[in-house]
Amino acid sequence: MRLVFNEICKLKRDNSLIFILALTLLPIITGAAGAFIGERKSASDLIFFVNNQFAIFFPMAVVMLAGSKVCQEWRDGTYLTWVTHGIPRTKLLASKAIVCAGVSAFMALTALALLTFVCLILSAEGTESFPVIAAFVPGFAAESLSIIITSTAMGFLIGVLSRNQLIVSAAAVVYGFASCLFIGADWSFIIPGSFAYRIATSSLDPLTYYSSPLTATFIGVFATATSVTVFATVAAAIFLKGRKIER
Amino acid sequence: MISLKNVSLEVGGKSLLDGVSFDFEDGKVYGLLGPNGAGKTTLMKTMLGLTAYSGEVLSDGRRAENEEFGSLIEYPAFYPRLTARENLELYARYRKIHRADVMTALDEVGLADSADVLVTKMSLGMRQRLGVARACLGSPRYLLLDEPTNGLDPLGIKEVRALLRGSLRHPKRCIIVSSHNLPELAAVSDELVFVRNGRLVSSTLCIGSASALEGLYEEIFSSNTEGRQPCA
Repeated sequence: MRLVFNEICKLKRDNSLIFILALTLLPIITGAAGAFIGERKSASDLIFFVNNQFAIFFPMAVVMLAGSKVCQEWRDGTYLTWVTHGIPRTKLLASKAIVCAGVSAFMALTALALLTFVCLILSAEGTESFPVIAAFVPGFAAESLSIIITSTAMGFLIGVLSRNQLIVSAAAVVYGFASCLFIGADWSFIIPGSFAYRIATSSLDPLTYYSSPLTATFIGVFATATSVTVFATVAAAIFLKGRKIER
Repeated sequence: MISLKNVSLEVGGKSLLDGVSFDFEDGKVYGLLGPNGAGKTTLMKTMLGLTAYSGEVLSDGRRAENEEFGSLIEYPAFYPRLTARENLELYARYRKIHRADVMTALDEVGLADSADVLVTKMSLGMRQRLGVARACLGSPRYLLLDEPTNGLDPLGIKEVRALLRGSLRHPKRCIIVSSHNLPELAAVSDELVFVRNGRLVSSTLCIGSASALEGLYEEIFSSNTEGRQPCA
């Protein structure tokens, strides 16, 4: 708890969080703008649109957040002090992971709250959105959880490999788009981001899920778990090994 | 006492530390002297476990632990969006220093009035002082200060010197200070240790005047002298 509290303290006055939150909310803002000028009339249309964009921008934001939190120690030059407190490095890294996951979950919840708010306003104009949102919530929760875990591990990996904020940001953008590149393919369950997206959309319309649901789910869960394990293990191994002379 | 036993470090085929063996005794202030790239900072990093060294770094005969050290290595780095006080409180929590007297530590280095100033708004000299305050927080057994007066104005240098001569000294504490400033080191050290090409080439127990020290420095780094020098 002490380490987690310290990591939370390090977020104080961190303006980059506003940018990362804005990135997460961007799909809802653009979706709402479209809805209000009449492009998407129903809540269901809006949620489909938002979820499509969310599957790109949320992984981007989470990778950026996780990578920047790791790189922070090198950027601020505090790395040497940070690793010489006599605390195992695994615990140091885990405390960052917990805080990043917590902040990411808060961002996802904020996105859901804003989406609900926009849908309720649409309802006032004649469409019934509450049942649609209620149906979407479990899928959205599963999607967000999957993205948070996978992207945090990926962000950490890029962070410890590069130790550079700019590289992390560039890689996050690529990762966001790459994870949704084959979103519509029938084999996209092997890509964690695409699999998560399809879970969310299937909660609105089961027909959007894979043609072999059982196999897809099994392989999808396995692929996601494997990705997380590989990303996290390699990141931890690199961080634990350090360099011959730490700088 | 901190003991180095045959400590070596090789990076990219280059030997940065070469069979260093030395006992740093409690109650003393050691001045580490040597030209740029001699291995002073690397030696300090090695004591902190920040290098892939071979050999042993022992504290009273057992493996030295990180939490026994307070250190200011290379440059005074802090979380820039936190204040001086918040940075020290964060450090105290990492070190499990209960009831850390952060304000007293800040006061000792003349930063009590700047406790709530963001580190990003501090000058290098102020950060250096804050670095010294952080290193001393919790009364660590060993204190490693790499160029602690770097960037300080004459008043700041005087304050650090007073700390090293006064309140930081303890019969059970060993302080190692590296600097290029010979008179400064001569003023605070009980023993000088000379480092050249990753080796401890000489140590001298008694410090004479600054000019005598300059002469000794020249003599050591222009000859192949090794070993402990007698009192001048």
